[in-house]
Amino acid sequence: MAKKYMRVEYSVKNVGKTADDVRQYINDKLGIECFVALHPNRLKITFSSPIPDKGIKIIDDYVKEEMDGARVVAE
Amino acid sequence: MIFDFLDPEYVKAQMDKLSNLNITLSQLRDDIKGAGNKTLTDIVSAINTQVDTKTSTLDSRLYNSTDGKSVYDHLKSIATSGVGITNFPSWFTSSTVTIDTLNSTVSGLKGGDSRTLTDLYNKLSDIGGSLSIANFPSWFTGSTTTTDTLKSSIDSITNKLSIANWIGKVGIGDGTSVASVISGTLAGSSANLIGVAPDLVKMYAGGTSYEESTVAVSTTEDSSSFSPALKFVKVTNEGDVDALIRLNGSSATQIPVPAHTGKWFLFPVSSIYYSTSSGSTTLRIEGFA
Repeated sequence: MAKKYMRVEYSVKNVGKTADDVRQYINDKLGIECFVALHPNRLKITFSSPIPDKGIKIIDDYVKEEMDGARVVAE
Repeated sequence: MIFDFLDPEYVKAQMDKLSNLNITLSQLRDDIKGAGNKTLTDIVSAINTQVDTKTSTLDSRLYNSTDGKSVYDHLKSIATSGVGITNFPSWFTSSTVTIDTLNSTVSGLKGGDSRTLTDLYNKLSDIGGSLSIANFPSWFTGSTTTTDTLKSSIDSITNKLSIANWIGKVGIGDGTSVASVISGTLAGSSANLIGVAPDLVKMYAGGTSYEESTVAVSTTEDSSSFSPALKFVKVTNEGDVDALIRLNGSSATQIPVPAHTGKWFLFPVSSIYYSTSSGSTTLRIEGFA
């Protein structure tokens, strides 16, 4: 059974985006509601319902491309 | 032979008399009849007719054939029975109410201090002389401004003010009324104020995402953002240098957070901008979304 996640964190370098941008992307792409906190070097995402690896991968790609970030926490 | 003769002197005298007649008899007749050509017979007839008519009228006045009474009869009746005064109030015809009674009643109108109508008139005159409406606004003394005008204006104001929105209906937490006009004191003076009641239910209930982060703060302003906005925020300056923060925008007013102090912000916060005047410090940001 595939693991599901409720919370992920990324180490980010380029913070040109806002928390609203990230949340809107996740909502549009995955149809999932979440809470996003974006600090100068840290992105925290807490999902309202568990999402599978496949969804996390989509977010990983988005964060890497847009914020030069890498996932550091997934639980 | 004897001849009778008239004395010429006498005849002459008589003729002289006749010569005094300067008009003819027929002329005299016509003058007597006048322009209306009325004979004495005509005049007598006219007089008789008038006398008959006037007498008849006078008779009808002195004697009324309908009720069969003459003027004499009526006067006798008045002298015997008096005149009916049925239209006067009962107290006026009362056998026990006298002029003295009326005088007593009128005296009662003067009151305990026996003021007369003259006193009242003088007092009103004094008041009239003392009254001045110079201090009333022009609209009050305006010839076109009536109480109906004032009522109309008051109704207009009333329609714009809903009593339901006054104090007591400010819905703290129920989200139905977030601001209302209330009575209060401002700078020591009573005034109508805007009362604000934040929707605490919507702000604080249901927050499940707890955010706690520590951010480094330097002289270069940086920011953190939250989506959805944190319902409230606690910012703690854990360093030795004072920090300055702005909430919900980079152009908002800077709020100082002195070293080793913190602030609670009980309203939604979607972003925090932070910096120092010199040196660096650390801010701990906590809140529920």
